[in-house]
Amino acid sequence: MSFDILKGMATTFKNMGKKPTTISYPEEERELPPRFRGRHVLHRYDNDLERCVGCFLCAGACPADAIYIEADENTEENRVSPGERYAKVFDVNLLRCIFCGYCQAACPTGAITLEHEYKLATYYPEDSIYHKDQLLEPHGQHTIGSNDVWAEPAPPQSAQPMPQESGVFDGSRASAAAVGLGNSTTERPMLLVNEEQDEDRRLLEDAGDKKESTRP
Amino acid sequence: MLDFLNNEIVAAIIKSAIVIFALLTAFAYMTLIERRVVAKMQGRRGPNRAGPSGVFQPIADAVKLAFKEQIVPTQAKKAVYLIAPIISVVVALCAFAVVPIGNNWLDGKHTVWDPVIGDINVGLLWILSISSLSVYGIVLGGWASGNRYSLLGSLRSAAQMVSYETSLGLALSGTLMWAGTLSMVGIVHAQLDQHIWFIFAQPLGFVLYLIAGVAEVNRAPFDLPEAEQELTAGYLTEYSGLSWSLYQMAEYINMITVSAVASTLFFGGWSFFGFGLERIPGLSIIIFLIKVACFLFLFIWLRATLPRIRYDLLMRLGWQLLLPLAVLNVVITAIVVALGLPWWISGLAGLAIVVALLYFVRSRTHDLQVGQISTSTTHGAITPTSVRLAKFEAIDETAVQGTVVP
Repeated sequence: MSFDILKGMATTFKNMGKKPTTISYPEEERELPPRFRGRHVLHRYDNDLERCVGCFLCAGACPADAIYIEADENTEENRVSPGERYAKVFDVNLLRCIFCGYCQAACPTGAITLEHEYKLATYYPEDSIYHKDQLLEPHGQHTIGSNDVWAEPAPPQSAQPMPQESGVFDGSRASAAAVGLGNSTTERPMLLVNEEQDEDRRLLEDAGDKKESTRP
Repeated sequence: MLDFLNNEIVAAIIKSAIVIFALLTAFAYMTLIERRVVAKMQGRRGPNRAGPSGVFQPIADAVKLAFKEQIVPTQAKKAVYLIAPIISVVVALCAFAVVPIGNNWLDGKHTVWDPVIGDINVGLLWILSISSLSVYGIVLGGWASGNRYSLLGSLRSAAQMVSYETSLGLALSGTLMWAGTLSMVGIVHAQLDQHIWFIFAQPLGFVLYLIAGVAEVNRAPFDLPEAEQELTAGYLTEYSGLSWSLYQMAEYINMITVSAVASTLFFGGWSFFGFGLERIPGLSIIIFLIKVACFLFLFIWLRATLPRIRYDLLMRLGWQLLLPLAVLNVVITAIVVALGLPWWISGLAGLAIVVALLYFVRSRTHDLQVGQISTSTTHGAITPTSVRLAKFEAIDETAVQGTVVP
């Protein structure tokens, strides 16, 4: 026996009067933090086109190999996404998923985000594989989702120095969203120009010169 | 027509049945109460889903355990394996036969229906002997499992219980001297006659009894033999389903018995300072139950607060601290009783020893540096006092050949 034991017992006794940390689910539910990583959602643009361009970056970034994609070409009649391809099959296996958010970070168009849905229990394991129709936002509902929370650029009132529009790639505006927007040239000009193989690059440069004034 | 029921033996049988039923129900709801109280102390809720406030949780647990597969290991000695938990439970239940739960119904006149099952005149000795038998249930269970770790766990538990029984008996003998009788009913009446509760005459005895009682029941912080982290649950390892629940039943009923004995010997049992409340039939039972409930809450509170004591420190506490103090208590009480001095002299002496002990332990722990275990170490090295450092002689470097240490 010592005073420390008595002090310890007083502490536990005082704890009885305090409110417990547990909440009575399902009668009460916790307010989730804004960046909470729940079930995935595939987003759309304002004009109802899907954001996903079937680039496989999320499937490649996934550490648990939970995303399965089959891409297909956009045709004139069936234009699903602005871009060359769209995802015809997009399955996420929520039993493999570890909800890390790497797919959200890797996506260049902001198509896939992890939202706040956490009630994901199923009776059969097959029901835990979510297909594209279950993941995609319905027509008319276009949100950026939780990309809003942490991929947003700084507000204009802040005193942060904004990088100048120099057209030179120096890494100051590196973000997943900036990848592929690029019409910034590297400092070192191309030393070799191969007529046949550089066709795509010349096409982009031409388009980039026209788009320069509309860059954000 | 029902006159045969007034026979003493028949009344004892019927009272035993009622008490056994009450104890089993109390055990079931003690598990729930313990989980709720420990949870509240830890900042969470306990089981509150099965029925309103979790009232059906013990029933759910019992049904689950009944349906659980009872695996008897192939290397177990089957007969003893099955009988050992039964021995534990029977022994635990038997100890309750002499505890006076309430006052006589006709206040002073003895009838066969008084709330005591058997008021023998060696009641306290009965309880001490029966609790010694509970060691059998544990040792036989551990040995019969055929598992060497179960055997080790049960032997540790047996050694622990035996060590603390001596201090338990000596702590109680102080009260015995004041009461003058071993009969439990007699002890309650002695407290009524002397107009005090014996805790005021025996504070040191009470503290010693409490510590020894917690150790006897294998309860935290002395629950090393059944800890899950060490010895993989000790003697309970090979038991599953209903036989496991029999062991738990034995432990909780032992806990209730220790609480009942403490409240009878030190807190006046069913009496309440002789205010006359006891004459209301039935109120004495409620007073007794409230006292037992307070002790049970104390047990649960200790479990939620204190970490487990390491085995060698546990044995050291039992033999090197509690036993000498218990003997000291007996000596002081014997002197006071023999000389006919009033009760508060032994009370003050006991209180002085308890306070001195608190300060002594405090000063020893406050002198320690971080990492030291006791003050008698050399050069601040981290060694327990049970280790004596051997003296080394400096090695003569020039005499060593062949090895060069830059």
